[in-house]
Amino acid sequence: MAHQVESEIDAIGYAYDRGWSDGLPVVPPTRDRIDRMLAAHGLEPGREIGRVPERKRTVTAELVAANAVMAGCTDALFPVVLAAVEAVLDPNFNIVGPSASTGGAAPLVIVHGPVVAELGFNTETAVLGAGNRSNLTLGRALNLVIRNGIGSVPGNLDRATVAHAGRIAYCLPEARCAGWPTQGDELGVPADRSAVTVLAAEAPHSVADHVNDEPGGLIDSFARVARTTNYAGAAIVFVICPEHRSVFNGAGWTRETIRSALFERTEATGREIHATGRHDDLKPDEAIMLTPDPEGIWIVFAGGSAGGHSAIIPPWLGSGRGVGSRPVTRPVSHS
Amino acid sequence: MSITLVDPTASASATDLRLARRPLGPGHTVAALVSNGKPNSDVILRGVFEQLCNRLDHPVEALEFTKESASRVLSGEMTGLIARRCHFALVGVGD
Repeated sequence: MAHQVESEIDAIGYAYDRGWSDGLPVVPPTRDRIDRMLAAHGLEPGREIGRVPERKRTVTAELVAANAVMAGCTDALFPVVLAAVEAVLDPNFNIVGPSASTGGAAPLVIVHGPVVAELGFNTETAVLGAGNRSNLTLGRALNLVIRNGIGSVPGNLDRATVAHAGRIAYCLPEARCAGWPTQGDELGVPADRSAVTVLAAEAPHSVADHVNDEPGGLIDSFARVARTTNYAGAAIVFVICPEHRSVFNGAGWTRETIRSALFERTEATGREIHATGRHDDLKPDEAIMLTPDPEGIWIVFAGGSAGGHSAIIPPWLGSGRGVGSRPVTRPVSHS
Repeated sequence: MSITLVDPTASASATDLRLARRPLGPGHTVAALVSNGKPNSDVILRGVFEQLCNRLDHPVEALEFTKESASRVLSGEMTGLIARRCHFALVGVGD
């Protein structure tokens, strides 16, 4: 359906009036902008990208392009947006769960591979913050598709109690650091290929440690924060900053050493879980690990060179150890 | 000159929506109480069912069901079972 307005500024107001916006002004989704984005990648407007059978909706390339235009994406970014949309439409992700839940999770998009450098994603200072077009518009486009294409509008099918800013944009491009495999490598993404992984995620929890200069103490700091999280996911993301990585590096630790130490140091009991108000079926003395297996401890190296500030990104509380929602990886193609 | 905007939304398709016949009469009536599995979901369902029974002039049998996962929609298998055995369903959302 097409809509007529008299000017670009009218179009921005019109988008607000129609409920198309996430609260920020949008780039007007004009026919020519959408056609150019689709043509740049040889896509027909009606190409089906995925379905949400629970809501009887079909997501097409044109719909994704319209929302990508509104988010402010470049044409070059469109294949990455498509991959992220395909990922959240995978039944394993179960988009109708996290996008409707009172838990207020947001789709974290982890970007792997050459596309990170090619499209100028920011993996360094303020990696989860403001200031980079690719980071912000990728996350925003995905959230707009979830709003406009899947119907998760706050107060309607989106019942988040408080939600978090990742519902506007939540993107974590992964840097490749010399000598360290990436999380993409761990997930089987070939080094010369690009991909995205989506994870239904809570807001980042800060791990600020400016004191420990040996790995054991640093692991304790990470574990202390991790133990406050929900123990609900198939995976949890540890964003390790360069300063903290240098501590592990200097001691000869590997991803595997870090992951094993974190897995062991975050074992909890049912009593601890109950005490935090997280409902589950555990017996008081029953042990539970942070994730079902050590491979669920994901490590992404990112962040600015100064400061002992890392972060832990917990999964959506409703993830149900992977039954309610699982992370999904999709290759970036269509380019 | 006017600007044409493309609608960025998708509407739900209603082509395959069908309402099942669920006559509520004086015969044997069976209700499905479907809990999402979260705390108190079953409590509120039983409370609503009790209130409903007080307003009906014939007995209603209740069959209780719990979703396999609170985070996912009801499975087709359970939906089919409810459709075969029950005349209507009450769904409770605990949180």
